[in-house]
Amino acid sequence: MKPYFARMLAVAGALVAGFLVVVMHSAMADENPNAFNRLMRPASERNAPPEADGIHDPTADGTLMLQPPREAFSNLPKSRSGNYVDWNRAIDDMLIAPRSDIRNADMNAVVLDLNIVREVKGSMPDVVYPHKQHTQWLDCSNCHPAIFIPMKGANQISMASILMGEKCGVCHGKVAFPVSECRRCHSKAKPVDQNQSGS
Amino acid sequence: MRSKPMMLSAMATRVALLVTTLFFLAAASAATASGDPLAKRLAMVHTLLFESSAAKQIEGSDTEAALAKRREAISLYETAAAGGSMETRQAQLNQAVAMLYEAVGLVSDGAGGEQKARRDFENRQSSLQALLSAHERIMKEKGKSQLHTLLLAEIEEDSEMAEALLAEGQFVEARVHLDRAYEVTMLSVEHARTGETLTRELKFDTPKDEYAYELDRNDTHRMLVKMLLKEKLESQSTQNRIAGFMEAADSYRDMALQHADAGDFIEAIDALELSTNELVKAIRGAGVYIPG
Repeated sequence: MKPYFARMLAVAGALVAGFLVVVMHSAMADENPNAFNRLMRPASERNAPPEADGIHDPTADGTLMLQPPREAFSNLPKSRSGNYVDWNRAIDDMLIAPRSDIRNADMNAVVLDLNIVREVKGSMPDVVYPHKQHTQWLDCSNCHPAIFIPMKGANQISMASILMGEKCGVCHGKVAFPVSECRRCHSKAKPVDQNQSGS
Repeated sequence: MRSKPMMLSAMATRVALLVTTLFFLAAASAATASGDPLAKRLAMVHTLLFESSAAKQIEGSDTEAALAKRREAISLYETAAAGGSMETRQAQLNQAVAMLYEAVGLVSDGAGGEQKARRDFENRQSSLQALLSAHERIMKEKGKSQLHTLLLAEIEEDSEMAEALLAEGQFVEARVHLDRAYEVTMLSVEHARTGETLTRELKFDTPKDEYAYELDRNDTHRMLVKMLLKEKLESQSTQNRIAGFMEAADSYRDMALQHADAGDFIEAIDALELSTNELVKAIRGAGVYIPG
């Protein structure tokens, strides 16, 4: 009986230890140090509540007082990426009215309705940069002159630099829609004859 | 000499003991890995007190009240770290955090605050200069209207006043004038440009410039292959499907580099265009549609 009991105990112990190894592995996988980018999360983890978003301290007093994003976003128009809210449409539909100045509720943002079209080679549609949608959220000084010099021909912008987090990539892919959404910027189709001759 | 069943029994017992030890070791490690809430909180508060930018700001200041407040916060943290009931320790940590925020508030009103005010002033001034240059170019392009002439005079007056006040060390007053100059400039640019569309034409001065553009376009598409196909390339069939396109892309690019080395940028551009087209085919072949 004794050897049989000891063998059974050994098998049971091995099973428990194996189970714990699996649990530990998944716990450590959850603590991926590179999981900082909220925009890159899988569907099941999108817009997690503050105590589970990996950004806020889950044990801090104020964390549970914050409104969970899913609840806050429920009535806002949807988009296909980021936190899945079309923030510009939300402003246009007057569903939100962000304050332009934290200290002065009466101050209105200076919205510049100016489009810059950048021609690109080949059949790829040209890029349209709309100041309007940007200045609804940002002040001129957020981008000029540190990221873009406000002068024709002064900015060498390439997709490679954007993908490396420079120029438009300072925001896009981090807090604004990612660059994989090609058509949102490359939105001005070329004339048909030019399209046919392009590469 | 012991019998075979007895030896087996002894071995099994040793294995059982080893496994039981492993069980407790694993359980202890799992508790740490899955995150004891108090341990996590202690670690977070430690970072805040010793490594955060707020802690460094206080350390680098000579505001005695702020330094004393931080020392008090550290002492509370040490008490919490030493032990006690969970509730008491949580309360001590919350108080330590609140104290550090109070401490950094005291610094901001002192030397740190002045440094920040100066830095903010300089940043705003640099934005104003950039906008003023743009404003001047717009006026040259469109001709000055009476309104813009008046606005420009107002901007100059406020800008000069801001400089003078800054020289006297009056940051707050200087910032008021600078902000006004900045806002008027923004409004003036907005008035002049609203509703317009400006086109940046794609023109190259030399074939070498166009080659540089094509090289960048090729690099971009290579980065897109990595970025867009990261998950898809885990499949062997996808790898096989795009391998031919990638080889062709590499081959055309090598040709382009050789042409460029020989100074034949026209041929180099053609080869790079072919290479980029192959990369587009690879991306589309893997099931991701990109324009171009």
